[in-house]
Amino acid sequence: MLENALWMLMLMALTAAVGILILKNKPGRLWFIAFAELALICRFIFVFVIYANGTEYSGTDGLIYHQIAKDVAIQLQSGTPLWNVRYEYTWYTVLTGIQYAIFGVNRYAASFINAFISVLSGYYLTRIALSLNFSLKKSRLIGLVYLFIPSMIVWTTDTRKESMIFFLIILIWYMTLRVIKQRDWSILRQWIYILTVCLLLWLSTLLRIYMLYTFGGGLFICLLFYFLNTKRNMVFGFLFAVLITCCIVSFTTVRHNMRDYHALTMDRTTSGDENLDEEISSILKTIMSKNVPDSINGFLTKPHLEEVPFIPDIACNPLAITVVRIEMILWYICMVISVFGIMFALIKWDPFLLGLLAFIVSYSLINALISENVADTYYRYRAAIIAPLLLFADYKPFFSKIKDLLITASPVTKDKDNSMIL
Amino acid sequence: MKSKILKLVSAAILPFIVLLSSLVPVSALLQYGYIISSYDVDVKILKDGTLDITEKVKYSHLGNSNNAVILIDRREDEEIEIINVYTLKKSEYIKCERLSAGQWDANVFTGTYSAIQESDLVRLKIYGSFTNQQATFVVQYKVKNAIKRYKDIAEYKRYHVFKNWEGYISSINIDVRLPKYTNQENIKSYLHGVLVGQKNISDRRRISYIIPNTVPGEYVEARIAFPEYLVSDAPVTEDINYSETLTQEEKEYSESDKSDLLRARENAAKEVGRLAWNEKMRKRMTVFFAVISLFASYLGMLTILRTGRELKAGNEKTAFELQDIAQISPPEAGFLLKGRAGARAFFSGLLHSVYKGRLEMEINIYEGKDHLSFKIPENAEIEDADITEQHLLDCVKDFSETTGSFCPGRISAKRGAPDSVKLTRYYKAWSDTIKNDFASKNTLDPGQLYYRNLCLILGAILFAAGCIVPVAMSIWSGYLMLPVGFLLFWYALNIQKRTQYRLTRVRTLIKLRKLISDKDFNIDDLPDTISDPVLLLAFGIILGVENKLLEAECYDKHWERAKDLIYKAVKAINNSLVSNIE
Repeated sequence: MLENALWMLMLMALTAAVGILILKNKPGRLWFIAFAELALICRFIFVFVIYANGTEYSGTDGLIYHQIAKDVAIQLQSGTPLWNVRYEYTWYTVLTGIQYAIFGVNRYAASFINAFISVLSGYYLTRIALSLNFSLKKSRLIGLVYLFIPSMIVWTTDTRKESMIFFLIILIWYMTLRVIKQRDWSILRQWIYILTVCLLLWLSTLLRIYMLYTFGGGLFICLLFYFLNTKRNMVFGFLFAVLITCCIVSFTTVRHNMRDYHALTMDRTTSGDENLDEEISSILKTIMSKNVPDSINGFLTKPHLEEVPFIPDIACNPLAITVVRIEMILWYICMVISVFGIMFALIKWDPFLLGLLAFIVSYSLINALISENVADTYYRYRAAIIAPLLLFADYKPFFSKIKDLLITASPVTKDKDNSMIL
Repeated sequence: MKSKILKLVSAAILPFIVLLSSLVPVSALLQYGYIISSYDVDVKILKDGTLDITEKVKYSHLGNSNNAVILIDRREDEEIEIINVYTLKKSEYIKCERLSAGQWDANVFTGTYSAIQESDLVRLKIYGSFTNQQATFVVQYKVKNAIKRYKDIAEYKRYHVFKNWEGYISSINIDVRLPKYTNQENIKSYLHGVLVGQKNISDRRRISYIIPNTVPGEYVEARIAFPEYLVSDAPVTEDINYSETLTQEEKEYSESDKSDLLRARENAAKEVGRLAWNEKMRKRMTVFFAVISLFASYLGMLTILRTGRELKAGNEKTAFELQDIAQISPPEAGFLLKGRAGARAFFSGLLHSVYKGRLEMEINIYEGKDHLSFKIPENAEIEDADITEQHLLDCVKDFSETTGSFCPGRISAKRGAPDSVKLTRYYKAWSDTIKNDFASKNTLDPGQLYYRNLCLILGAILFAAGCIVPVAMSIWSGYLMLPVGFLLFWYALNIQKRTQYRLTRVRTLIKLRKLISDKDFNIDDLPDTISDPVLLLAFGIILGVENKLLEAECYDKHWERAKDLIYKAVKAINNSLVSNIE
């Protein structure tokens, strides 16, 4: 218990320190950090709730990853080099294994780290919003909503890879935004950022195999439009680096991991999917067998309110059912509002927001097409697009633009995006 | 004040509406929940009070889930040990492995299970490759300390179906076998939670419960009292006589209000009708929205065509030839071409002022590098300048006061740098004037304005509908509204680019660009009005052909030197503006 208390205190101190650094010179940052600490404490409490019956019996994926991480830790402690460590399912287990090897096996600590990472994601999401010139109030609201979404608290506290995935998504887009907006940086600094983004693309592929293509598509759109508008050589270099990374990772990591990737509704009764061709044809078969509009509906809207009581993990838990229902209603509202935010982004033709939109669309389509038609699976996988979508969830700019256009007898194209000023 | 109060009230009411709507029991459609067609429970009570239970559960619908859940009752002091879990695969029972893999991992669909201990139950999740949402499982488990032993009797009390279990179960058979034979009069059995069900004691040790079915809201709790000596090895729970308390409790239960059970049955009966009605309505809605989507998309396309016709008909074709180009300023030409006045337009504006004699341009050396610089000549008549030009002159004047001249190539690209901020301020004022000036000239007539507004509104509605309808109704045709709505909206937004005023001018400017780009270009071929080298260069910068232009004979070596400097200056202005405006 003392060890856990020390972990919690250390991470809380780190949350405050990182918050001060990331939100440097931003008014009201102390309040925001206080709320972030509260979100962290909520996650800590939830960790104790889910492990109430012991850490060795709780959970499904989380428990598996914990067990594999223990094995990884044993390998590391027995002198196996990191690059030779055997691990299964996901690279996240190696990360947790390293933690266990250094600090000792403690699933609580692994969950605390996940909680901290998710709070960090909240900070960076707020920074993205601020960098997009959103008002301070709106930026903080986006960050706080993200930190306090109940399902997000659940996904990011167990020893699952979700926390890391959400963090990578936000971090990659944050770094991209920094590179394209900071024109006064030295070339070295810009290239360090670009190479880091490429490295993160590879890491995200190790976590979820198709992330490479969702990121690749999104970044391609973002950088291509930005380059066409600004003709900046650095942006072209960035675009080229992303394309090269996508090619290399496709032919190495994706090809290698394809066989072991089982987040698909494949027919496992046939044992012939050992080679890549059959694996791909199995994926295509899955996609072709789907009713696409139904699948898109499922990915974006499930669990429907009627289905919530039947989610296996919360069946017979009235409080959890009510919380999920409330969250679903708020999610529907958020989606409807985001439609207008998306329209505004299209009017502005902001390359960054267009790239982010391409990422959301490609991620949603891939998941709708390859994931199982299961409410709780869709629910968990969809969580990855909540953060990017929150950046669109504002109807006011669109309606004020429309109002502005309608009341102006002879409208003027009021471009607020000046990235293409030349 | 009134609107503030309204906002506050709506902000306060919204959470309540959300909360209430989430609490309203939504119709539990049959296809959403678990449906169990047969549920057999075989309980053997051992002498030490341990239960040896085998449950056979046949799911006819897994509730659109990739796993099945079996909830096992767990009371205070009880310990539950899962012994075996089997799943039926091709008429053969396959043993499931405990937690060898989780929900999304390898081998999971070959048959695995996880057991999650919760405060009052154990949640058993079983994974496998199920076809048509149907599956059969056999679960064997032991419950230690399950029998409560008192001075006079022993008590078996368990939930076999939980109250909050939202599924439908048919054919429930519970068979409880006591460790030893005893007189049938010594055995008392009770059944709670359902209105319809039979209980039967046979063979002097066997108690059977047969419940035809349960619906959401009902539950099954079996309670049996039997002589305590039958579980002689079990620890005594409490050293009291419990028989009377039990009888009293059962009397209270039998006299209690069971309207909730009646209501559950009524609701279940209503559900059947509601389900059929929902299905019928869903089909109708799908057809309705599919037709509406197609019609709305068609309407959108028609609106675009009609607006296009209105644009063509509304404006008389006005002649605008090469000799007329001088009527517009180079920044205005930039705005006509690109829809915005950027760094090139700003620089060409400076050159235009040089052409008018209100500015002079020279090449100066700063820190060992050549730079183009501008300053206002002493005898310049700046009072005659129009408001747009005035902003440029003010800018040059302001910079000249501190640095002697306005040197664009030296302006920092760093965000927040003083010279950069100053330039941005002047730029904004200048570009706003250009926009307003352009808007006042390039007007839409009332008919065009009407169609522009119609396109805007219809486009916004179609785009929003294109996002919401196909997702909500799961229809392909709904997605058609998305591109049509976007096209309509985009068309309306850029309608001023399609006016005759703009089109004639743009055509002439492109003609000029073509002439300059031509390899036989000769400045003498141009009309006198634009043959001045400085004015032509200002237009050349706007048209992006300044390098080609500077190769012409009329530009001497002095201008050749300026080639790189122009690009440097434009780039510096651009970088500075982008950094600060972003």
